[in-house]
Amino acid sequence: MDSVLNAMTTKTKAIYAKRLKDTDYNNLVQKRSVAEIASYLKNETYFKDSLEGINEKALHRGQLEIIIRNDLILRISKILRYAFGTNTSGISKAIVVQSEINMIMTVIRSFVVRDYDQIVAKLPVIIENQICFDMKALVACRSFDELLEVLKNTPYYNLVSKYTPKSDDDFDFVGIEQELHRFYYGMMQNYVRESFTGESREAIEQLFNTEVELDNISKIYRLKKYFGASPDVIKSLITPIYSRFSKKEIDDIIEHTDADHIFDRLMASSYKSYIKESNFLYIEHTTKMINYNMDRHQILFSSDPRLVLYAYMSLMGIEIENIIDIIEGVRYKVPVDQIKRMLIY
Amino acid sequence: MSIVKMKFASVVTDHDHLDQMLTASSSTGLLHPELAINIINEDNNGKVITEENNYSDYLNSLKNLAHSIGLEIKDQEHYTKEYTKDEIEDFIKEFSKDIELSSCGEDVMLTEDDRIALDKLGECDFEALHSCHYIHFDFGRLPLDSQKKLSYSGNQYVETCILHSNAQYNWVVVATSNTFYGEVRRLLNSLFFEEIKIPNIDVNKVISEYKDRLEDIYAYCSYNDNLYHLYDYVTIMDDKDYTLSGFIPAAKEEEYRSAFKDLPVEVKVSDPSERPDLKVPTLLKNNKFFEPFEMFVEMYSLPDYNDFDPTVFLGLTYCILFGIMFGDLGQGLLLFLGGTFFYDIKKKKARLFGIVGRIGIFAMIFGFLFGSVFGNEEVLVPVHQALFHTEHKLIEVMDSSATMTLLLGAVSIGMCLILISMALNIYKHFKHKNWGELLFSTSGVAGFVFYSYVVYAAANIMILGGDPLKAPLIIIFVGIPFLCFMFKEPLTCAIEHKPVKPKEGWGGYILQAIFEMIATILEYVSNTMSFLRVGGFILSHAGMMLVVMTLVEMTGSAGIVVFIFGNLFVMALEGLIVGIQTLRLEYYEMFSRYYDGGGKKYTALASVK
Repeated sequence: MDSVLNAMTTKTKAIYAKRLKDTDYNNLVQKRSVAEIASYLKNETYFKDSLEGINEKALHRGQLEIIIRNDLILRISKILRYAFGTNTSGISKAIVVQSEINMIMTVIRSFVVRDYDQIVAKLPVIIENQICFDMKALVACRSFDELLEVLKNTPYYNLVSKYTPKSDDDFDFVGIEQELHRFYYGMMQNYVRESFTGESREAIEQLFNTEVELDNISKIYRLKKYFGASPDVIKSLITPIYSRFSKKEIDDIIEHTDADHIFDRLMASSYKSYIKESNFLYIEHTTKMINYNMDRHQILFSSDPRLVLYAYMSLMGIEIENIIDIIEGVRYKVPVDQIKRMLIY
Repeated sequence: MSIVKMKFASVVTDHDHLDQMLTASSSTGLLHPELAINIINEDNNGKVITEENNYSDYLNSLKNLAHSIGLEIKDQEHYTKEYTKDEIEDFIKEFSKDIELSSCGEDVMLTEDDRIALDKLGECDFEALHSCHYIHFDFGRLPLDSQKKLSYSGNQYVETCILHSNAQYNWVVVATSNTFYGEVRRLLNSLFFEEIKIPNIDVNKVISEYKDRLEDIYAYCSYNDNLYHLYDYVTIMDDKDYTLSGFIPAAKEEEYRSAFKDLPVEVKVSDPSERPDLKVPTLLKNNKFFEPFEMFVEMYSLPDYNDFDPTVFLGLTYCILFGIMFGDLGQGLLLFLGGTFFYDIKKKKARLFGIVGRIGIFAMIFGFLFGSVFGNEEVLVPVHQALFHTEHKLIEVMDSSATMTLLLGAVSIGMCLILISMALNIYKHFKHKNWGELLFSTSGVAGFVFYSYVVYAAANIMILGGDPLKAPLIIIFVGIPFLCFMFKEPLTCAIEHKPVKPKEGWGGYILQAIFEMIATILEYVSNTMSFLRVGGFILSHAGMMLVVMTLVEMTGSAGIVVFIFGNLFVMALEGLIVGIQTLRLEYYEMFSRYYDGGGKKYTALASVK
């Protein structure tokens, strides 16, 4: 068993070693078009195999994003081959549930904007066999009732049916999204409780709870800054999972801290040691940086294969976002130093 | 046998001579360039070149056109004349018009796969496809996952036919009625369909009159495109000085300068220490015997420029350890011959073969000492008796009484190597004036003193039967080193005149230090015991060959076949395992004590053609 676990840890760490490095980012930010970025990724990085055969000149940035996201899923499934007899079901399940939630939200959004092609474009065909509802029927949905019909006999039915709209354009997007996210977080907490013990459990709970807590903080920031939401509304929209801040402290932030001082609260907390820059760019940059540094610590020092894999998934998620930031930056001709500041590595 | 000394070189010229300067610099094959973005800082206020590279697009268009007439463009080194951008664009327009090839955008390059798919589509007759009144045909690349998504869409107004596929795309022809064309096209766009316009005529008609001009313009564009890629390394200072900066081997300074003697450029060469913001690249230089072992150093990580090159020590210890574990005169000879032969054939590029050749020599030496030739343990007995005046062989590997000697010998070699590794570590930290690590770390002076005493005590007890474990000695050689390990951080801070109190407080620090001590002791034990494998593999090799020789005797007349294949099998299996295990000893037991790596590889700029 131990050698099996070691094999998976070693494989994950070996694959992680191939990540994009400082030189890659320096080269990428200097590119002048999506085609040049694709060409660099294809010729100089570990995306070589997944980009083999693409036509860089004609490649759409959306397609490039799909390819690198799929590549991560393939890499994870490659690592999971080394998990003989180990309970890694929660990790694959996490990927599937996230995709299912995204699909449901895309369908609901399409009811309002009437852009049904987006549903087709965003189908996660790479994991089509693991999706718990009929994707073809989902694509054909044109009303909330039809959606509920498709979701029947799935765990999502009860969650989504509570938000059946009274009229055609009265969807509670935020409510549904929050409900689905709570379902996801609950599932992950169960997985952690059932599959981990001792130090590993403590470590993965800390990673996971921190992710949720930081997500809550981003939400609080945005709801305060851009929507002027009241404390009661904010409290109803956050997930009641706490890590470094207690419930009391989060309530205090919601009630008494204005948006511009939330970064100061983070800098005054134990998160400070994970924040490398004292300059505030935007809230997600800060929260991502904290997650990045915590995940990196785990991938370097942990020997629990599932913990290492979990950290790897998060780190690669950040790497993908870095690439997307570069693509967007290059596309909109953002100065090189500004793009570089946005990257986390 | 060292790291090649580097100099930081900057070549400055004006805008008009930039291209000549880049060509001259790249032709030397000496410069490891630094990206302009690394050179620019707030002090020098430099800028990067932001000119758009049109030549890359021209190359794509020319390749596109060449494909369309079935022409493979030959890579010409020289062009006959220089072309203006207008001339190139006019040529592309004129040529495109003549062959009536149009694609969905000028930027799109037709690939070999596109051509195959177009050929297949051509079987349907392009003119017939264009002449349909009620059905609209589109042709292009559809990503593979989009093809699946299309099947999920349930759109009944679209039919696709796959003409060709690769790992990313299907080349499809899409048919839809004119009525639903808009809807279908929106769907296809959302699925990243990359349209290739269906040509009006047979694109395979060869228009040979364009061939020479096409290749000449292509060579010119290719040269300029390569130059543009070098612009990433050029910094503009004071809006007029175009500077190419990087590192060159110090010994080649004159050669590098002479490359610019006919150009109006200024070459500034300085010591790398003047640019502390730049990481100096590492170029290893070793004698011919140890050169192939640089591969193992690179695999781990190149040494930092200011560090030392461990190749010789690695090469020597690798050869000795491999030779001991794989001791067989005959098999060693085959490794030597095979390795040397392929290393020469591959023009010294396949360094693994070079390593195989060298370790073969040591396998032969130890094979001779063990008296083993292709598994035959008797053939060298008379030689040993004559040379070493022994009763039988010098070392009886398969004799049970020799087993303990072999294992203890292996551990002794390990202890010596660990001590040498520590000495190298002490030298490294002395060079960098890193006093804390030098004096108090487990691989520093404290570690060396402690481990030497343990080695001495073990040898004294086992060989001389003495009693070296006296209280004063233990206090000096065990107690003091352990205190150094435990209080390494505060002691280092004290030397560096920093606050001594640990961040976590003394209680927490001491508790942590106690656990670290236990880990340290275990590490010493496991590191030392790790070398047992050296003795183990001597026995395993001899055991496997004993099996082969027994099988040879059992198989009678077919014995020679069993002998050959048995030897080849043991060589392949044992050679691989011993090679990997030796590398493991190098990396884990030795490198971990004295080597950090972290260097940047020296990569010279390739010549622009």
